[in-house]
Amino acid sequence: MDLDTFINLLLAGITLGTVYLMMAMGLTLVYGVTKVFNYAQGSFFSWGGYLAWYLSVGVLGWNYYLVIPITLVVMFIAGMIFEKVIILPLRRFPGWDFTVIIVTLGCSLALDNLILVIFGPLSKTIPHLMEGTLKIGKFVVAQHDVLMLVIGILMFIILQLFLSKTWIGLALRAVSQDNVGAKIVGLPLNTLYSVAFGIAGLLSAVAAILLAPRTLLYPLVGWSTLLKAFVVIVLGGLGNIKGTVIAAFALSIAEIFLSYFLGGIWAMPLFLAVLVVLLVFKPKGLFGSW
Amino acid sequence: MVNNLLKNLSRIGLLLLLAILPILFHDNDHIMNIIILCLIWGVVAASWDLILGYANLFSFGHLSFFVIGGYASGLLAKYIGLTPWLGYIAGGIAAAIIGFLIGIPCLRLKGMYLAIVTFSLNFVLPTLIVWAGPGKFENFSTGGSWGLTRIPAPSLFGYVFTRQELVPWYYLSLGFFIMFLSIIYLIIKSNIGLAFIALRDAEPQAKSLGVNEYKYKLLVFALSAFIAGSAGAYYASYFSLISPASMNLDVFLIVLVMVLFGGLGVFPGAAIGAFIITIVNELLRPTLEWRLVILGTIVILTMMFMPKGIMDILALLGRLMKRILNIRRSSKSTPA
Amino acid sequence: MLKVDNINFYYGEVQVLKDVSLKVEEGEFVAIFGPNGHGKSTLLKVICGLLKPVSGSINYNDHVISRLSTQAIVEMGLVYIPEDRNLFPEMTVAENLRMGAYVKHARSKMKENFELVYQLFPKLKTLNDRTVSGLSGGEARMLAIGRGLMSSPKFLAIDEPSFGLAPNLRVDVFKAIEEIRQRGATILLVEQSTFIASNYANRIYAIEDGKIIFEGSKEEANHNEEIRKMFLGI
Repeated sequence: MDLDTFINLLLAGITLGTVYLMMAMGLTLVYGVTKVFNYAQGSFFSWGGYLAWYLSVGVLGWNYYLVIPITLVVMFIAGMIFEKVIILPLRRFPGWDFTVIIVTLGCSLALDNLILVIFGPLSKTIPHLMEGTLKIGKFVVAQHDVLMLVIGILMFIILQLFLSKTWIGLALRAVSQDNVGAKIVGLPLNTLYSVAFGIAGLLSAVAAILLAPRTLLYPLVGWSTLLKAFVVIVLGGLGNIKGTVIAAFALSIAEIFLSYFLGGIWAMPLFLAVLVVLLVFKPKGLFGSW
Repeated sequence: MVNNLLKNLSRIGLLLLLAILPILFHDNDHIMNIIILCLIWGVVAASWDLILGYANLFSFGHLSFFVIGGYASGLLAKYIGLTPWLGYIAGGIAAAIIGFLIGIPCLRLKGMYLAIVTFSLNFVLPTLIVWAGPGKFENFSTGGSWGLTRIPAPSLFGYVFTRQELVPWYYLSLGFFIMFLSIIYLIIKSNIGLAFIALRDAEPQAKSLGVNEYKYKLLVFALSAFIAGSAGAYYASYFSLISPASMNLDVFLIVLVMVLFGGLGVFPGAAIGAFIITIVNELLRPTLEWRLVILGTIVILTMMFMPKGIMDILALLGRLMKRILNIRRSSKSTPA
Repeated sequence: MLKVDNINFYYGEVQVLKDVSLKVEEGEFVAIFGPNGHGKSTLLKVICGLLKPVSGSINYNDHVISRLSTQAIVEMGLVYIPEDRNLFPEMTVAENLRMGAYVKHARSKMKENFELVYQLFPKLKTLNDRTVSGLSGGEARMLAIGRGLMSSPKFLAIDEPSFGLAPNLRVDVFKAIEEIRQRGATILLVEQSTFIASNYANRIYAIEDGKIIFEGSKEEANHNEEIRKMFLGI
């Protein structure tokens, strides 16, 4: 392998890592705050991508830079509504931790097939954030890839600032650390639950907008990203932010190189094997957790 | 006493009905085929319920065992010439071994983790099957995404089962169904089954079977994989085909609806659910792509409004009947 | 200010509170004494809305609050400080205090309340940027009370403020609570050891096996042979 290929693969891996990081942060935030592992987040990803496609090149033909913020806002609200309509009513069930797994799974299957009904089985493509390439020294990289990295890092920083500076962000952390303590100081739990899902919806849409120009959109597109994001949060330690970042990039780079040498189908089985071994021997992930 | 008698009578009646069904439908291949499918899926759903509803394990990879059984028996029959009868056992054993190997690490995982790991099998196994397709293993090719075709059907006393005559297939399937449901019933009524039920319904403080819990769960996991694998082998010989499409998410969804709609952990609810949902699924075919959206919605609504599935509906009907009877009685007793 | 009428509460089959009634007037310092596991903490949790009573009613400033959420009750100025503290372990001391000021009426007074807390517990100021998981038991106790004060309480319901503290710290904590009362808050606290609390309390209740078995002033308690033996340890 020459240096050029190596750099290209590395770049592909790192940019993919930003996508996994978005999805992993959404999963972690929702799990921490609401104690729900949301199987439907893969569908949030798909719906975010299809919505962007519908508004832009697919049907309505709006300016793509206008479409992106609209998509993010819509997916934020959709996430909140999802929590209010589907998750909240389940909280009064006695065995709700089991119920909620099946219900989010059912939702995701319904939502994915709704895509099939509305948009059909043919795969779609959404635009790159920017067309064209950038020359750095003697290496040529796509501008979209550079933007993936920049936006990924930016989103990560914004989320961290949000969680450590704003009232709602701090409250979200407080709820995930001590639910009873959060009630005692009068935090609006039901609102916070919805906001967590809203943020997950928004992050999934960002992930889709970043990744879909590379992988295309099809009704079940969200699953592989969701499952890999799951491996990321377990590897990094549920709720451990530093661990999650390292795991996201380590896994994505490993995936790209594995696919290059062995073929794409081996990435998922290997991840699963790693995941199972890890869960058995280090249930708190490589970096511990809250 | 009277209650028991009634129960036994209704069971015998049900069996009689199943025994004479072909008289009604023997010349309608479409309906016969659906009834045979009901019987096969009934076994699969009931075996899944054993893990999901009784052992309380969030295992979502049950169809892998079905498919592994189908491929194992199909490959053995095609390339080694194993008779389908032994193939049904071989398929079950192959699935049980894989189930055992998967179970060793996975059954130690917490619910949420077990759910996602086993669910991932629905994505991993099909890609591996397609990968092991034409050109990979000359003598043991899985047939790739087309699947393994021309799997032989069994023969009995010189009679070879064929898709041209579905009535013999029906009785064979019925025997198969009754045999496996009896086995599942015996497992549920065994000490281990009863222990699981006690565990499931116990107060939170008593949630442990001690050291043996893991062993019991592993055992039931492997047993249920055996049954699903055997059903897969049977399915493959009936259609003379097994393909990765049997693990598509829509198949997963349909079987999940069967178990949930039939009621988790209320034998034979899952089998009843399989009958109803197989038929509903056929009736929904004209709705095209909406079919799966509807089935997904049934999952959500079932979990939200009737967590015991069909039993909740029966209870509701019972209450309604009582109220109607009461109204009659009271309207009679009050003078006009 | 607070009027509890015939509250009954069950954990599963076990009745933990039996027809409990009590009254706290504005500006009072009321202490409830009782042995461990006899329903004291449960009573406070029912008052602050974490648990819902099976029957009976709770009036606070002429509002029925027994069916309200804890959030709504905190917004009315009734603040609960739990014995097991329920702090946010991965957040700093300052962030924990800030969370105490989340409710609307407290946000506008956040600055004054920070000063009040630092004045009562100067130690907390030096620990400002530490996470809670590194605090000692006494420091965490102060933080729990401080976080309660950040909510601008008109009524404080405090569960065993001196539990697990060194004797000199206990006195400090009670002095701080008395100071809070003098600044206009009403205090209801439950204690197992009556030793210090009875010096500050205006009125005393005793609870045993989920029932109120005594009600009166400190003097009356001192003259009641049984109570004295049971709780005052004299």
